Amino acid sequence: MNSVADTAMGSAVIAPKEWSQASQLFPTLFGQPYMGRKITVLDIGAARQRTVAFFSQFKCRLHIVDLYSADLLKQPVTEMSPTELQLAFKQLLGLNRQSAIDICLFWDIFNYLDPAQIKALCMVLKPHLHRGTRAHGFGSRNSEIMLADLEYSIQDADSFGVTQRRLNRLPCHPLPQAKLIQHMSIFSIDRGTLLADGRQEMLLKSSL
Amino acid sequence: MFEKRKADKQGSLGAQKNTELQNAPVGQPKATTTNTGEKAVIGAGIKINGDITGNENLVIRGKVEGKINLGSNEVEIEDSAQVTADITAKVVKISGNVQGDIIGKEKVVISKSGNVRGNIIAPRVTLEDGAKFKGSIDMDPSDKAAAGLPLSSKQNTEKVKAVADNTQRESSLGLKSR
Repeated sequence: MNSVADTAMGSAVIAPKEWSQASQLFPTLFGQPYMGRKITVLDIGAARQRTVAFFSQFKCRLHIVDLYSADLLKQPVTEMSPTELQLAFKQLLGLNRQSAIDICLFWDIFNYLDPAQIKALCMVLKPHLHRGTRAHGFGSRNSEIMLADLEYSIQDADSFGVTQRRLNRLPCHPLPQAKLIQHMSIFSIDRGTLLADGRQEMLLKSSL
Repeated sequence: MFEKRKADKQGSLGAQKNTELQNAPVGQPKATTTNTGEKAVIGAGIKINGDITGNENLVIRGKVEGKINLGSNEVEIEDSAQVTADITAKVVKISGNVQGDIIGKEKVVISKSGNVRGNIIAPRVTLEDGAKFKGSIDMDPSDKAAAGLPLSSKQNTEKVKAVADNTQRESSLGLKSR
């Protein structure tokens, strides 16, 4: 699964391999009562071709912010106050005041945020959610798990694509579901599915 | 739209003009485009500060700050380009750096070397893996001619419809694929 292969002639960069994985939860996520209206989607992962192609079938606004490449995650400043953290996430997300998000695609960002960061992110998102907001993400079975750095995309209405993340490894803070949900005041877990690699696919619903 | 020059045999546009343009005061750009017959080209050594309007296709390899409005034409922003401008065009193809809002009346294409910070409004947006993008993409495929959709997208749509319909049967709800 290495993205870089050394050859006798020198090093050659090989495009990361991508594989497809069925999602038990996507059909429910995309089967919500949007009724053909324009939907707003927040994707906090890297911009991916398949995800954009998928949403281009619908009348929608896709807001993409790659939190994984943010310095806040790469070089976290431990002494930031909750207010400072919220301000940092607010600037990173760059959401319009009027933005009302229907679907949040968190991917596995919660595994790379510490509890204070999770709380701050949720506080920044809160004004942009409504009662019908749904979210999708990957948690962890437990806090001891060794997670590979992966990047995700939507392949289809019932499957997602996975590839190795190109960026350097980020500090990892996996939390089991029970602890994660304690820090997420704005979402509750609607359904969860344990995946083979120890990740837990989660469908979240707004707690507002 | 611009004062035009015929491209020389090497196709160079900026090379011999770079020196004088580097000394040009900012905000007072000299003629900086070359008509290649089908497209106007802003060379890699050229910097334009101001608004660009017109009715022919445009290739940008240099720096542009201001606004670009070529509503019925194509704008191609190549790898070397640094564009800080709101762009309106029929088709916008981006391989370089763009900071600003983009309206593509037909489509917007961001290639893997593209780096875009801004909001995009277009009926159809293609983004290659590897491209850097931060902002929102406003898509309304209602303008799309079905014949213009790639086969995979059509299949995708059918699959989405099927899944949505199944879900709808189960829950009396459903995301309407268009």
